[in-house]
Amino acid sequence: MSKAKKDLLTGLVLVGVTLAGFWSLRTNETIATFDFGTDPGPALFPRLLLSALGVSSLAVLGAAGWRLRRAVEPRRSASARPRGRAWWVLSFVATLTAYVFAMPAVGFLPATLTFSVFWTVLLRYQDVKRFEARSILRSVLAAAALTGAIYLLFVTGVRVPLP
Amino acid sequence: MIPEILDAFFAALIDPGAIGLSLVGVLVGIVLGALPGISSTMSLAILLPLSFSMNTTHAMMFLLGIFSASVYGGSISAILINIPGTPGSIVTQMDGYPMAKHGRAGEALTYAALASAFGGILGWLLLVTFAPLIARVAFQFQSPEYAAVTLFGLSMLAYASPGSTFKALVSGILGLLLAAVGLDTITNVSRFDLGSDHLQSGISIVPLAVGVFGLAEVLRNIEGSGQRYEVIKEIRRIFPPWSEARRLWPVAVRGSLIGAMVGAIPAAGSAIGVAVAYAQEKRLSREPERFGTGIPEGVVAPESSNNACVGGALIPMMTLGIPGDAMTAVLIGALLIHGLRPGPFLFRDRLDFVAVVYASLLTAIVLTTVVGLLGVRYFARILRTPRNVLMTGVAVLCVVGSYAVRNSFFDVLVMVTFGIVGYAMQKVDMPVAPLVFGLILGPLLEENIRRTLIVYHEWLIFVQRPISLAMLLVTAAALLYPPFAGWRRRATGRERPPVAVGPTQNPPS
Repeated sequence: MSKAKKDLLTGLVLVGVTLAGFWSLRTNETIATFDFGTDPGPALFPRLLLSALGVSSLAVLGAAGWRLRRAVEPRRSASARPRGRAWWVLSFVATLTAYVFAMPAVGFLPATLTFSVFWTVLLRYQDVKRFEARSILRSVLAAAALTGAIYLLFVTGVRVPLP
Repeated sequence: MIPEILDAFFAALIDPGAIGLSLVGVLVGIVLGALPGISSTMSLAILLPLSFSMNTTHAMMFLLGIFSASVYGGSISAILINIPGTPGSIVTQMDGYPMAKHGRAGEALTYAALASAFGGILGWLLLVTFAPLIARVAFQFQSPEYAAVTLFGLSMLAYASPGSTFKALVSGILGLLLAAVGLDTITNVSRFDLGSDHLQSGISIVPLAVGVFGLAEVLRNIEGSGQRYEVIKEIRRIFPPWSEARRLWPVAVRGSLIGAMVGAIPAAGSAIGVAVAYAQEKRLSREPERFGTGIPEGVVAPESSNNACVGGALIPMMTLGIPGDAMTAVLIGALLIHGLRPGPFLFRDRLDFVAVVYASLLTAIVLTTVVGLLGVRYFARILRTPRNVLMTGVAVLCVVGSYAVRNSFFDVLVMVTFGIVGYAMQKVDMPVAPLVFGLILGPLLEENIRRTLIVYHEWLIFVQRPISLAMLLVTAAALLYPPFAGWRRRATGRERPPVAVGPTQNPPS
């Protein structure tokens, strides 16, 4: 992604955060109605920050617009673009989220073992670009050992009651 | 005061459980620091939850063991595979790896261990000497000074962050906004809680730090090509010739002093210290062209600076409650969990804790040196840890560690959310460390601004009090200098002068 597009995206997100923040303060009944006496109140600091953020987001958008208008950013060659790497990240985030939601339902050990085995095998594939029976077996054993070690460390060592 | 500190100091040193945990922390810290893709900050963040069930002494011994050792551990991969394990070892690789390629890997690792020890001890001495003095000055601070110092700390981080100072500032503002989520500490009014009971208690620093420093790096690693590297396995001679080693002590002294002073500047970080130390040695050398070819000075200067930064970074943390770098920001999270608020009042009300920090750091330095020297022949094995196991393990540790804070899955979701946010921020070249700093310093800044306005009823007081005014002027200078310098360069048509390897608060993958 070009710097201009990155800045454009950043600026839009920051504008969104600013607007959401101001809306939240405006709809907060206590802040709107309560008299805090000599205290400037709990809205002062957030308003200052949101104002600064709003100005910053406009500056970022302005810089992005200026770059896009002048745009002579070299196109990256196809070979320089990482192929399909975004899908790896999205898949990881999706499975991680599923793992977090599954843990209270099925328990730490099954959820963690499944997640660990899945990703140790997949990440090995990502490195060597093929599935090998021996390395799959090693990955499964490593994942099992990892799960067991973390369970013992936190349940026995740190005394955290994992589900 | 001194007898009380000495009592607590020696009590910590003769506690076998504390020493054992320090040793565990050192071993884990060296291993994680050596592994590319696992930075010192990440190591501390993901292992922080393990300290929750420990008492304060044991927790400090463990965490400072990791802190100190991981800083040294980064030199191992820098020397053996030419990839820095931590941001502070970015410069060590410039001479460390060529030394290893010339068959001097063992000597390079030994130089790194001894320089780390020297720097660590000097940094420790500065901490012990100057922290009480600075705390005494800080006692005179009232709310305007605290607000100004907090703003100074944030601005220094923005100035010191890689890339755009402006984007670092925006990241800091976002962090300050995150700190406003939940119940206001003065009036108990809930802000930005989105109707959620969980958010009323605010966003906990530990899940956020684990997310942005831990999970975000895992995501970056998964997206990356999976670094392949060749490990230099042959370790011949370990101890360098005495005739060579003895002429390096001035290098170690200079590097250590630079590192400790830079580390003491809030938010500056070790990456700046090592770059300055290396550049200074090169400037003073009679043969500057030899730097980068594999000379011991190129290892001793940055490694002594790196480890001196640890003691230096603890000074603003202990005396003002302002993180000296990203790692001390994470450490502040640990202190808050243990019910301790860092700042000058530690030196009045909790001298026992101050002594524990001194003892923990000294123990960590000694144990790191011993383990470092004993393990020279075996470090290459650490680097053979398979990436697939490492990254999966780190991800699971992030999940379990965030859960361990309050036994809450909400904290795990916070960790995942900020892992994604941290990853996205790095993709758009926005540093993440200011976000964490903002979350830590937000309550301090807001309370002191509001307290000032409640007492003095005006904003002018911030510029009428001399310390506050001085801090605000330095803050303004730090923020205005980069755009001014850029404008001057463009106006005069001058190229930006080449600089040593740039510092990064975003850990390298």
